[in-house]
This record gives sequence, C-alpha cells and structure tokens, in this order.
Amino acid sequence: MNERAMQEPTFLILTALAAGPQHGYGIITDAAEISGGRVRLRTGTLYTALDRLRGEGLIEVDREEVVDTRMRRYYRITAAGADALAAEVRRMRHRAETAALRLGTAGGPA
Amino acid sequence: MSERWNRRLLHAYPQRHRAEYGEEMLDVLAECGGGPRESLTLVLGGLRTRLGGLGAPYATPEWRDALAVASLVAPLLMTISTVWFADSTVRALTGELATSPGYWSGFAGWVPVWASGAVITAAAWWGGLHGRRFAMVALLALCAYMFTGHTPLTVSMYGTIALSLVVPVVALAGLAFSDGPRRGAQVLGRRVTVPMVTVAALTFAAQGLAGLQYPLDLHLISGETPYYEYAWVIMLGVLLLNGLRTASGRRFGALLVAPLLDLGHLVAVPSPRTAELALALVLVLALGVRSRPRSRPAT
Repeated sequence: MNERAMQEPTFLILTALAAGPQHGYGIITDAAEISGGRVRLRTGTLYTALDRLRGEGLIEVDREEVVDTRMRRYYRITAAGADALAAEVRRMRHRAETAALRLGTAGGPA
Repeated sequence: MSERWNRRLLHAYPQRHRAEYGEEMLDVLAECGGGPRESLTLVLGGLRTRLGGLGAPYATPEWRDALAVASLVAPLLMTISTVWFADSTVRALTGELATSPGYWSGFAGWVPVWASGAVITAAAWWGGLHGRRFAMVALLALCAYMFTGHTPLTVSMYGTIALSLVVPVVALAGLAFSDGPRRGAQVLGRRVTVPMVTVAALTFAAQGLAGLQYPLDLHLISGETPYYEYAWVIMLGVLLLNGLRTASGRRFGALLVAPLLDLGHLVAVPSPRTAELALALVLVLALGVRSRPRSRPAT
C-alpha cells in the first residue's frame, strides 16, 4: 500500500491533541509551540482540517462548553488518529535516521 | 476585524459547514485578532470545502474501481481505431480501398489521433507508474491537438471533433483518478474480460465490412450507425450487463454510457434533443451515486 506523507497542519493538530482534548484556539497556540513558532495555523486552515479529520475518523468531539455566551468545543484524538500519528512518527524517524546515517552523523551533530 | 466582517467571510463556506463550525470559528477569530491573512485563509478554506464537497460523492472506492475499468476499456477502444487505421492504410496503399484525390491530406492530420491508441494502451498496461504518467501526458497532448483543431476536416472543438474527444477524456480521467488498467482487469475478472476482448476482435472484423469510417465518432442517437459501432455497443453491453449488479459496475456504466449518448452534441450542436440528452446524462450520473453512504461519523 502506498503511504502518503501527512500534511504538516494534520501532523501538528494530531500532535496537539495527543496530549489531551483541546479547543480551536488551544490547538492553534499549541501547534505554534510544537513547531517552535514556525507555523501559525490560521482559523480557515484549522477548521477545514478539523472537518476533514472528523470525516476520516481521526479526531472526534470530546465535549462542548459555553464560555461568555459562546459555545466552545473540545476535540480529542481517536484510536485511529493515534495510529496514524504513530505511523507518521515512524516514517519521519526512519527518514531522519537514514539522512543522519548518510551524513555520517548517526551519533548526532558534533 | 469586526465580527460582522468575519461573519460575512464565513459565507465562503457551505451552509453545512457554517452551521457546524460558524460560531466556534467566530470565537477563535476573535481570540486570534483577525487580520488580512486570516481573512484570506477563510475565503480559501471556504472555496476548498465547497470544491471538496462537489467531488466527495465520486471519491469512493466504487468510483475508483469504475475509473480503473474505464482506464482499461477506453484505451482499448482507442486501440481498435489504431488497428483500423493500420488496416485502412495498407488497403489504401495497395489500391484495395478506393480513395478520393484529397484523401491523403485529410488522412495525415488524423495520424496522431489514430496511431496513439495502441501506444497509450501499451504504456498504461506495461509501463508501471511511469507508463501511466506517459499515457496521461500523451492523452492530454492528444486532447489539446484535437481541441485546437490541428486536424484536417475540422476547425475546432465546436465541429464534429467534440465527439471524438469523449473517449480520450474518459481514458485520461480513468488513468488520473484510479489505480490503473490492471486494477480494472482485476475488477472485471476473466468472465467479463474474455467476452469483451472477443467482441473487440469481432469489432475489427466488422470494420472490414463497414468500410472507411471515423472510428471514434458515435452517432448512436443522431445519425447513421456503421457496423463497428454496433460491435462497440455489444462490447459495452457485455460489460454493463455484467457490471450493473455491482456498485462499481453501475458507476462504470455511468462513465461509458456518456459517450454512447453522443455527448458531443450537448456541446457542439444545441438542439431540442440537447435537453433530452442532458436529462439522460443526469440520470446515469444519479445512478452512479445513488447508493452513496453517508460517511460522517456520529459525534
């Protein structure tokens, strides 16, 4: 089977949710932290991705709360989502190890 | 940016998406502070969601299999024209086929169209991933060649060429959106493939009786029907009768019934029959998607 590399927003969202349920803005701030400030998910990007990931069964709604008259929805990663993230981590690790080996720096940079 | 502005931008999304996420997105936008980039990604995200929604009924395993069958059958139909072309050329050169004075000049422009069928089929079947890519590029080039009218006897797509474009376009869609002709053969199985190939061979024999015709022009509804077109109908009929019991077979029917409906006339020659044909096309497409499951998981 042909495994495609996970898109970066997907990876960041699943990684953010791997630590526990979060709401939309929480995912944005966590994703920025995970990427070392390099990636700032925009609201449009986030909700297009969340809708897709829910459709694929990789995340689901954990609970809904009302904060200042607005509904706040928390999302959590599903077992299928955790499996997909674990597979992506293995793929990334394998690629990184191969690159390090070929550079002759398998023991890490000097 | 004001909430009113953001609410307006949310109209880029389909109603379903707004009902599900609208208020939540407004909340997040208020916390993020908005800005032009937020606005831009809202609009782009909305368009992407709308376009994704349009394609969703067709992004199913059944459609992938139907397209895989199309990626096998449509190039095979083109190969029939290659064989016919080779046969006609030999017969014309040996004087067995009577030719008019302008015959060869008219014939020359069609050489790429007829000759490429077998090459495309071979590349798609034996060439692996690279072969399929080559076949797709060749089909694109072929469609562009025919569309721009670089063929004698026609000036543009708005001539009879529109009819001939249907089969290469179906072949291209099949190769682009499926796992290719080998998967198509797997889906069909031997019970269907053997009669289909037999009928294809008979098609060639029938062409000898039919004389010189344009092999990709179907006039099943609009005009005279040469012998080889009857053979095409038999060939597709074998496939459809075998396939209609399965979900992917019905979808394949929707794909290849379209050429039989003389699709080119919908574009090329608007007439009172256009509405009738458009309705028939909608019906076959509806047939293809009617058993689509609602895949949204419960939350």
